[in-house]
Amino acid sequence: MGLKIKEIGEALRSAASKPFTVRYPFVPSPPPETFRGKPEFNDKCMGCGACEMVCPAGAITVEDGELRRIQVEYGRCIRCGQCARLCPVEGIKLTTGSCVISKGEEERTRTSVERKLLRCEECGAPITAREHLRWMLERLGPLSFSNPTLVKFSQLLLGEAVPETESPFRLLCPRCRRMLVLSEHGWRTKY
Amino acid sequence: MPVIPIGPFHPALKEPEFFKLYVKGEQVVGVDIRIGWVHRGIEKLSEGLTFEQIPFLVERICGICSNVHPLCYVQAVEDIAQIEVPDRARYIRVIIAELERIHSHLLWLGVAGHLIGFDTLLMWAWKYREPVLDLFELMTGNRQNYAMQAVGGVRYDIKPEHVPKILEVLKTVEKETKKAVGMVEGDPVTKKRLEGIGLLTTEQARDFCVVGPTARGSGLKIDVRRDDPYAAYGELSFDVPVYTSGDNLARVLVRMDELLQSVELVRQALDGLPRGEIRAEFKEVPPGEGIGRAEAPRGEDIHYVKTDGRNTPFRHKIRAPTYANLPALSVMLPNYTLADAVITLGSIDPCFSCTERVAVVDVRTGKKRHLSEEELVEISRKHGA
Amino acid sequence: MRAEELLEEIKQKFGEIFLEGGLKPHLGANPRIFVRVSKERILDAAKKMVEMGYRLCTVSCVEHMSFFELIYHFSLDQEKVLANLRIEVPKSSPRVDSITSATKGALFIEREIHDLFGVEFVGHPDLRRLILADDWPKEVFPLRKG
Repeated sequence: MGLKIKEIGEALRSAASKPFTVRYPFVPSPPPETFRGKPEFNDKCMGCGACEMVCPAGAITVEDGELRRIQVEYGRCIRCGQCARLCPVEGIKLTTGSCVISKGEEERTRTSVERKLLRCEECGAPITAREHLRWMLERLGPLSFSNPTLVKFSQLLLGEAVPETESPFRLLCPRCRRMLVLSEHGWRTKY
Repeated sequence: MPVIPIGPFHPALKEPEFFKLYVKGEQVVGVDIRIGWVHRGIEKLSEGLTFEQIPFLVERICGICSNVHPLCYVQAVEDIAQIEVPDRARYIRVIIAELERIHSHLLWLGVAGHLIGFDTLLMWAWKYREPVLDLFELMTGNRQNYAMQAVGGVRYDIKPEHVPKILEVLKTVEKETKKAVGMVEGDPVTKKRLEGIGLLTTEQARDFCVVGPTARGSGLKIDVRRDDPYAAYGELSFDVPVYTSGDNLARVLVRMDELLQSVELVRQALDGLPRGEIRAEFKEVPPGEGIGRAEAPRGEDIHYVKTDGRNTPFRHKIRAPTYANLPALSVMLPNYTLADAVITLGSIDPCFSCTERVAVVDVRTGKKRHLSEEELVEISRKHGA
Repeated sequence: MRAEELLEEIKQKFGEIFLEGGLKPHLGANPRIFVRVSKERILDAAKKMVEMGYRLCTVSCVEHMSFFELIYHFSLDQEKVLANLRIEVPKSSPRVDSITSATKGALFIEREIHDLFGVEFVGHPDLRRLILADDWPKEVFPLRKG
């Protein structure tokens, strides 16, 4: 009997208070700011592609054409937050916005960012994004002088002209750099 | 013999498995279990992902116990690399695991109530489960799939401003659970639906190697938190509730006792939460093999990982808890009625993935009836009225 | 230490079934016991483990170059120890005795290994497909590396 009174009490209390259900989406239901929503790029992104390497779902792709284009596909993204956590410059962050992609509209299902790309002067393969190289230059400081690609790049940034005859001082991809050192400036020429 | 296939629409929990119930009239005399509708090849997928990426894969094995699979996996990898997890991370693991147990048992309680026609229990349980999910959203960023576990520790910290909110939610959950225990134990109709039904004797439980509340409701005092202490359980004190009757009522009571225990455990862990790092650094994972175990809300979960020096595992074997409990149904279902079969199925808390259609074949006449999920649940609910 | 004593006990009880064994350290808990036994006597070994009070957790199958390695994980809950038995099943004739007569907990596990790796368990009461689709081709074993 006492049990029934408790149940009736609970029932009356529930009937008297307002409904527990929130009529979202007609009524806004803002999530806490720690909510992991869809990721979005910002200006800090330097185009390094680290996010593509760590994404567990393979939702991020890097395409190198005239520019480097990094794209997040929301249909595949699992909102894990690894891209945001492991980006070196906080260039991609998870927002708290809602994401309705069921309508298939282009701007809702994916987002992308484009960055200038540097290509090897010898073979044309992409080295990396321009901003990425600048970031490396800043982080390495004086150690940058050990890498001719970085030296030429820093001179380009400063707007200085580089004499074309100095063949090591070109923007080269790692493979071409290796070939150059071994064949022209390595032991073969010395011995 | 009349055969009643139940499945792959499973009325008890929203997951697909196919049961063929052999019946004589309304009495079940035999059962055949078939599974595999949500086999997604996770063990094979694991062999292509890096150690850092795998927790995100395995946490999507199950929606309700989504924390325990990454926990087992990172413990297996930490076993291989002999990584010492910082103290704060171990306590946070306990807090998350116990909060997950609370919300999982509350969900199950509601569904069990719905199956026997006790809808008040459903509404009540799911109402008081919401604040727990809101807590997870606040702490980790998501209501499910928390992405909390990482090799060497945890990813998100519990900030000081979260603690009063956690304690407040725990107080409400504890108060309402005690009320619900009274509701279940004091209601003769509910007791009649649960008592003496779906019997699993201690001997049978041992033979089938069942785990979790299914085992603890049949007298086997096993609990991975005490038998193979992981995270910070070795430093906390808690009871392992065991009932010996082996029927549905015992399994309900075990889960309700565990709910109250979990509340206590979270309070203890919050009280003793040490300061410090939440993740240990590690260089690489050497070749070797490791085993990680944890107590999911449904029982013991075990992961075996074998590495060969690359940055992805050579073999990752997963055995989820319900896998061990399923074969026991072949002795729990016979000799009871069709209506009771539904609640017995629900009492082992099966966790697979979704629901499908139920087919019923009457053995005597050879006629097949197709029962939709609503119809089968109606049979179960009307039985109690 | 308890794990060492239990390893000794297993060695005594197994006799010639025991090929080699050792302990593996485990941070924060008892070391784990790893024992290699001969493939032909696995059913006897499993029966002895059950008699000693161990509970079968699961069976892991790992593919090597020329053999499958089956690891039977047993847990002695009261003593907080995990003991693992290893056997090697050659790929040229992947057949081994089923241990379902020792413990019914192996019913589903052996069916799964049969589905995914193609190891045949002699004496299993019901070696049907468990987790693969019914119309999955018979000779394709998904979890094999080849």
